Amino acid sequence: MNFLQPWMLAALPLALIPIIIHLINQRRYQSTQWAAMMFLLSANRMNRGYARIRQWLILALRTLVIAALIFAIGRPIASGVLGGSVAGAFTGRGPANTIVLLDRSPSMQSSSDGTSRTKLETGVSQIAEALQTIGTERLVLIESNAATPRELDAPADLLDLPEAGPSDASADLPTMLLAALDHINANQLGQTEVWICSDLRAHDWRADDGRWTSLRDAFVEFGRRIRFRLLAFSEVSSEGISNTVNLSVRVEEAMLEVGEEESAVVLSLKIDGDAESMNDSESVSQTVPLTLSLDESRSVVDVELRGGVGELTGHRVVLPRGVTRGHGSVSIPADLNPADNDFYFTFDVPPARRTVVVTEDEEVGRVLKLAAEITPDESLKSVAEVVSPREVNGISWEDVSLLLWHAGLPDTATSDASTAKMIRAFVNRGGRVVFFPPEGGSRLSTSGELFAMRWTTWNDQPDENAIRSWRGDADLLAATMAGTSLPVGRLRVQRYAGLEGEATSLATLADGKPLLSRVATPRGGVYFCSTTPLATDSSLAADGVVLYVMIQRALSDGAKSLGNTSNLEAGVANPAAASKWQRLSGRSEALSSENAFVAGVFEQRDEGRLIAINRSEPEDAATTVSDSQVDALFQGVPFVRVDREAGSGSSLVEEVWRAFLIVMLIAMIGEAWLCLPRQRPVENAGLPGGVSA
Amino acid sequence: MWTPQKSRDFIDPSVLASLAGMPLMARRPMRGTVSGRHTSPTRGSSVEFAQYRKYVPGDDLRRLDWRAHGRSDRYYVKEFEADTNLRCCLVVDTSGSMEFGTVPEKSNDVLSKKVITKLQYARRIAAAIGYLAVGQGDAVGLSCAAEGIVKHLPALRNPSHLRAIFDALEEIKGVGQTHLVEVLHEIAETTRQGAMIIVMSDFFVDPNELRACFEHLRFRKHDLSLFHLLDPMELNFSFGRPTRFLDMEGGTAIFAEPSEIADRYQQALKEYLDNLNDIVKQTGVDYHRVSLDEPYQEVLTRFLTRRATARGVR
Repeated sequence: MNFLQPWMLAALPLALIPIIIHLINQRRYQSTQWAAMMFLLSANRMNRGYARIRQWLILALRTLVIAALIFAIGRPIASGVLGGSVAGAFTGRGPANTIVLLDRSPSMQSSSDGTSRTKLETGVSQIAEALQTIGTERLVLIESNAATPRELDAPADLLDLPEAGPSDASADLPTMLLAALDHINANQLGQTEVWICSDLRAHDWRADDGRWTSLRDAFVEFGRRIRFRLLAFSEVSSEGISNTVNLSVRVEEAMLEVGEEESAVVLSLKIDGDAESMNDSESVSQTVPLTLSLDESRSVVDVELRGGVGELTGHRVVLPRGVTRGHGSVSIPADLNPADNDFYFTFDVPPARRTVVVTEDEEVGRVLKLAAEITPDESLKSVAEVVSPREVNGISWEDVSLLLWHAGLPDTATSDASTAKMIRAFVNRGGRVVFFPPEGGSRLSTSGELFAMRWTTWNDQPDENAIRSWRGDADLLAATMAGTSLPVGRLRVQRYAGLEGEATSLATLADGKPLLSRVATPRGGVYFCSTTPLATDSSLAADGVVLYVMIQRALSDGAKSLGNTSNLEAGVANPAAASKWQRLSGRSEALSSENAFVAGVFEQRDEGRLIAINRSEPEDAATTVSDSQVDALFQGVPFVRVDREAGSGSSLVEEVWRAFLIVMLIAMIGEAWLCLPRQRPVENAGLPGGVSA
Repeated sequence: MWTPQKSRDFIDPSVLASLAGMPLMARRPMRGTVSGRHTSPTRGSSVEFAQYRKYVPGDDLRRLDWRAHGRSDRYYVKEFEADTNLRCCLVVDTSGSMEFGTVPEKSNDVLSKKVITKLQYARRIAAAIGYLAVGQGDAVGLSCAAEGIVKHLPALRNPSHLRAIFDALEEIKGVGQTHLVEVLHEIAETTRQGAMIIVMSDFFVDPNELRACFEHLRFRKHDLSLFHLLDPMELNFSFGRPTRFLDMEGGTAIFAEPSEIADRYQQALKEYLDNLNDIVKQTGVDYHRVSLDEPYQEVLTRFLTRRATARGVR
């Protein structure tokens, strides 16, 4: 409990006044000669029990009256649910520094009944109100979009700040905590309270992220200097599943079909319900009206939900004659969370897919050219050319989607610097590169270094069938849409090249060496395949499925960067570049600086590209981190958790002086009752009289 | 020899004059030494017929009722009541507690404008009764009771003896503890049977011990009267401030907050008075509870009147 006027507590010794008066009164006695001592002795003996307790009770109540009055004037505030330091309780000052970590992810826009305040609004208002009441010297906001500290003048700014409003980008709690830690260290902050406002979505908290361990260790070192307050809006059952009924819609594919007579957009979308109750009633069907907006036209399609899931596959929307480019959106009726009721998409004529194979080996060139030229869709056009490393400078990079490099790595420190620079520019533009190890033992080790990667030496693989593992969930070796795994395990690798550098392994050989690796780049994709399609090296060519799928996926990804449209997840695009985009559809009240984080359709003004931004797919999953996980994440750190519901009106801190006044009144009534003169048992004792027998 | 002038402030002639017409009557037969106005337990020669009794040899033939013999042919002796005087023994408690007193509020007595103690009140009553008794030819004695019988004057009917009683009353002071129970037992034994014993005290002793005294005195055929003297302050216990009460009989002092123990005090007082009431009823004692703010003339008038109406009660 804190006090808004703590100096009033200096008057607390006044509560001793009744005791002092009592003691003074005891000293100011009179002495008198008395004859009827036998009654006095008897009365004194009787007085030792209840009467003495009553006397002390009266004294205690009088003291309580004054103490309660002083406490009430001190304007106490109840912040018990949030805890508080002992020093803060008596100084009346809030923490010297307060850092608010605000989860603005789409799930924070849900409300308890669909009409009241959202979790985000409730959390922001409650934090602002609490901080206004208890006060803080310095307030810093770290919101999930920017994840950078921003100092605020007053807690009330939180209510008006656009950066504290809704967003469609997922949050990254470890990154936000890291920013808070950096801010604390950089500014040498003293007593600091870190408020976290979140709905504990597992996707946002990333409880398995390795950064949590280092973060926790760092915060533990601060001791009680840094205190955490978690304002949780989880609203989940013990199984971690939301109890509320909420539907989300997502367009899985928006493909343009260009025919001779007419063009159409073919949509595949999915409506998902995250409610437990819907999962329980798989047999119950429900129809959801889906509103489809395409440019200026609008139509409604009923989608049947079974077991909480509804799918619409291959839905054709015929375009007006001559239209082959545009954008649209799908939406479902309003429910608990408006943030997942809309999904935006764009469409355009797919560009021709062009692949460049750089190799001196004819066999390798032939295999890779073949794998790149055969398209999975007849409507797509794909071309590939084979060039030698010497002819690289003559490549026209503008329309290249994929580069298959089977040659020594161009070293940035040598004459190959220009080549390396061109490859970097190509990747930065969004292109994809797959590097294969060049031929020759000695040449391999002297190969250059690119993307901080380097080939080492060729190694023989004694066990031909030993592909230990590969990532089937994402990237080039992911399973098919039907869920069938690629036959990576059937590949035979007789020879592979060693690789040095920091890369994520997508497939691993039996001895732990990588077969396919991906280098993390801000944009585009860079892959290193440790063997070649040559029959002496591997069965990539013989068992061509894996090679073909791998190349086609890389080609498809690369082609997207060249297309005039793109569908991005919120928060992925560069905020600075996105701020220059023109909004075509979506929330008009959003700041342009937050274009990268807000769902909608944008147009790049200089290139004319259409970009659709939507929430990421994991945002539709209602899984939250469990209580035990949260406790484990903050183990050893001063941490208080407060569970709240969206729309909750109760404040985190409240002035409770009324309670003290009530206590005072009760104490006064009690004191008055105890002081009431007791009915004298002897009514006529004073009257003279007598009897005679 | 020169003797200092006695103040005799406990004697009010106007009160004595107003009481002069009222006889001091005994409630039971008294065994006097001479003829008087009180009934004797023996038959005598008064004019008041008592009863017939069968003649037995040796009876005085002059008392034979010949008319009765003529009617019944039997011999009857005619007996008459005997009148005698009484011996009045005044017992005054002179313990320290009898020196307690306050200024009476409702008394019109000119003497009571100053502090009047229980001992002073007892003096007035004793002096008035002694005066009345001697005036009607009865013998009066005085015993002062404190830790024992501190002063004793035997009962005499000589009018000059009254002066000695007044002198004794003037000289007594309230000192020491009360051993009233022992004193009453002693008086019961040492005083010849059939006397009137009047006790003036605050009776601050255990009532159950008093019961034994009263029964002892009754057994000795004494006519016992009690004047229970209580100060209004003792009855009301109207103190305001914390007070240190000093025992007037030399006991320990008690510090108390009067407002806190007043109810307990009243409860203890009521229990005591109720108990005493029961005892005096059961032992046939003539009991008069007196508040010191009550004029003693009224108290004595009530005492004498009640006795006169109850005359002859055995």
